[in-house]
Amino acid sequence: MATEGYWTRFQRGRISRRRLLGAAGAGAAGLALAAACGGGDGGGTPGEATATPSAPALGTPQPGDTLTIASTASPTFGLDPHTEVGLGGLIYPRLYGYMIHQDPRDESIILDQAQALEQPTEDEYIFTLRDDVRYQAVTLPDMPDVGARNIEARDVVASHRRLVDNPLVSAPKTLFRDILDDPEARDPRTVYFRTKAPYVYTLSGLGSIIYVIIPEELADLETVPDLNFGGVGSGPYMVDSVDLQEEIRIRRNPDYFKQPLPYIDEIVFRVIPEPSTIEANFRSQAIDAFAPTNTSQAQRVAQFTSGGHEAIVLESPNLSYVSLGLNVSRAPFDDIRVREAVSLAVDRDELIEKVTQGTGAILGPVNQHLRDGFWALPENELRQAYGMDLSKEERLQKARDLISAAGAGGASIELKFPQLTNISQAAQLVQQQLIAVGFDVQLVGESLIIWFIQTLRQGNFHATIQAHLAYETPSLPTRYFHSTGVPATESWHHYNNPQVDALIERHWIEFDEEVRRETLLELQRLILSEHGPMLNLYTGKLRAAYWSYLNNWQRELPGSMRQYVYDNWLEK
Amino acid sequence: MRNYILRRLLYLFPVLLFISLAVFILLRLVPGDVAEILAGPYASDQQIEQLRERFGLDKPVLLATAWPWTGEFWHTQYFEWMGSALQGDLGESIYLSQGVSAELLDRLPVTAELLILTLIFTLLVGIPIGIVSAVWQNSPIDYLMRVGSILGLSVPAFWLATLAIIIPSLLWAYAPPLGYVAFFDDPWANLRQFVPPAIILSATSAAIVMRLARSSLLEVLRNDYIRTARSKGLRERTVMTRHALKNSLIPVLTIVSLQIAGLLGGSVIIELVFDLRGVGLMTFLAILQRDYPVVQGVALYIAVVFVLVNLTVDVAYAWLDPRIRYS
Repeated sequence: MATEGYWTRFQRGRISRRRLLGAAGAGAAGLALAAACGGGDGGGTPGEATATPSAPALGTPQPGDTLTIASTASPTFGLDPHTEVGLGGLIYPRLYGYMIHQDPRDESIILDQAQALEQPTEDEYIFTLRDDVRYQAVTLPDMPDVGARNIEARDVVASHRRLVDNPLVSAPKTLFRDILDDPEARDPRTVYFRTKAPYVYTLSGLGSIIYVIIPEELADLETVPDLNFGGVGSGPYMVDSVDLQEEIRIRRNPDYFKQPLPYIDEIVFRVIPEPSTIEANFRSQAIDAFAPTNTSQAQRVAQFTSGGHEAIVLESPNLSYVSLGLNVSRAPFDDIRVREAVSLAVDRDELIEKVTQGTGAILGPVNQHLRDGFWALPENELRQAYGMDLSKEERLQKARDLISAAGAGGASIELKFPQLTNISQAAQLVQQQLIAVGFDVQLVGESLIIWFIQTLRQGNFHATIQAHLAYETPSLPTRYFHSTGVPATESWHHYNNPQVDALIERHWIEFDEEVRRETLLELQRLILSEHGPMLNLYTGKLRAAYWSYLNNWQRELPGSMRQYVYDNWLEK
Repeated sequence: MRNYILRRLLYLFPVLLFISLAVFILLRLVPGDVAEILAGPYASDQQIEQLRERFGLDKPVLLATAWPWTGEFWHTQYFEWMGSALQGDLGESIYLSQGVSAELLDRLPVTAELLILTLIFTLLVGIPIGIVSAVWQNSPIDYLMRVGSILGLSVPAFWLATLAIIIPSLLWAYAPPLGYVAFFDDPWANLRQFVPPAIILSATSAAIVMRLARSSLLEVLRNDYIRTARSKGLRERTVMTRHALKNSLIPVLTIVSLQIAGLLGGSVIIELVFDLRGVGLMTFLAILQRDYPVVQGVALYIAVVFVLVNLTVDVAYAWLDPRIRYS
């Protein structure tokens, strides 16, 4: 299995955050920073002015063919970029265009359908859209006709409004609703953004996977209620057929602005709930790529060869993780001694060994896989904070003493969890570990959608195992500990600590990376000393299996970056 | 008989009415309507109201505060859904791209074909083996057949199904084709998709049928009229085919009819493992996603299927046993 070579940096066509802010700091108003190779005027040729998030591929690309990708889970809601939290996130980035992307490895900005980005002051951002990007020439049922026109600034404004107004949006709206003013379309190609106060994660938000460009005609929530079955975008692929529970087909957009991309004619995303069925079809090459569910499957699949091709299995650090959320407004978790006891009782090494088959790692409030651990506390400090430097007997005895001192012996705990394969296993282990120190723990499993909407988002839990998405900056992982929580209105864990709030808010406005890092480390130490409300348990590895005939697949790219690779091709 | 059938068909309406009411009310007893679930806790009342309107949840559930002769009385969620259902429209799914009726019609060929093949294998294997076992009772062949039937009953279908998928893949890099292929489009691909799951499904049902056919035939063979037939000098084959077999099939028919009704509701595990998109898998996913219109529609469909299959079986009893008469 290949484990080396990921997190390799690429520089072509990028703007570093330091360079961008340096220009702003110097008051270089009007200085447009373009991503064209060698500088240029920001326009450039289609091949140069925007960067592909990958190193140049080896070999000669062969256009055509159909790529079939399988997944055990179906999209949670559908293909609406503003609401989807599941499999749809692999699909809609291929349908829509983005102004920019931000690479989580170094936070550099990659221009996509914006040709230039200017930051005259710390709180102003001006995007100039390319003039050669057109919407897909496709008409969908019950959708207004967009007419294959060029993307315009008014579309960005309408998309932004839809994101803010849509009650179904799953992602936090803080940046878009509370920090940014409404964007202005200054002319058909210029979009102006202003933050109410300087905010270091503004470009992360504007380059995030949900910040797609939707045509104004489709962005009106009154007339077009949702885009769950696809919409018209300006991305490399367009919707062909959608059955959310079975199969989603997208086909090549012949008018995509980065010609000759994409190379592959059609991509089929197939939902097959049974992992062994996926494996059998991968073996027969009916499926070209999938994500093995565990190490043993990955090891088995890595041995496959057929028709002169080899199966390749990649493992790469995972930006998502699993934690144990505690409702601190309810006894016994309102007592810090009980929270510390829970933290001591939870055996993270056992979870890593049994749930991730030894491939995972412990983590602090910020995942060490993010930017090669730049923002994270060192592992030895985490082990000490979690009592992992003690023997198991000492750790459990300390937990029992704390529970006894808090008068919480035999306390009844309802532990909810989303019914996903590995999470269910983690929940059962945590249950046993908490029972071992004297708690009475009942497990309540819920479907992912119900857990997400009714349990987590409503703070309707006593304790819950939380499955986190791949966060690409420290912003969201730390927001969980803020008194206004992820939605910027209230904490799902009902947690309120002014000291924690102050540190989180301080790091939001700190543009100097070294100072921000120090603030984040201080914040994480404070969070660890509070033992909650969210105890991070482990982060695993992402696995990707594909046949060697699928060239340039680049599954090793972190987070959303892998969704922006369009220069892959098949040589069956 | 005609009156009986007509009367049974008329009974269908109160049964369906009761089932539809029960399903409708039970689903709505779950806390929080779909709009609240989808909107989440941070949506404004106005936004939730918009969603309610979109899903028709702004209307009264069962009874409107109006007189029955006014049109308003019938504008409730239940009556509107039932009214559409009677016209063949089971409503709009929240997660699927087409209406529930269309989706059900799409899935039905998969479920029906699986049912037909399973039934063929069940009857072809179960009844002959049951007869052989009964005729040569307590012989080595009887013991062998009975051990086989116990294996068929005790080996879980999901385990067999997983083996049926994994072993050919590991040995020959073979897997059944993905995605439903209609029989008339490509018979070979279709049979490759459906024969293995049908054989696995029929393993259990054939074992049940075999055991029932055996015990039923043994019981019939002990009756006085069989002794009389034999004492008249009839050949053993005539005794078996003309007098014993037909009568012994009544309990078999009952159990087969229950299996038909059950299979028409879909077989979740087999559909899941073989990636066959039938009614079972659709219902399973709809329950997980709380797609209420789909659950309601499928419940109504299953109720209709059960009632009609039971009626057919009752009519078949009379054909099999002339002593049974309906009035």
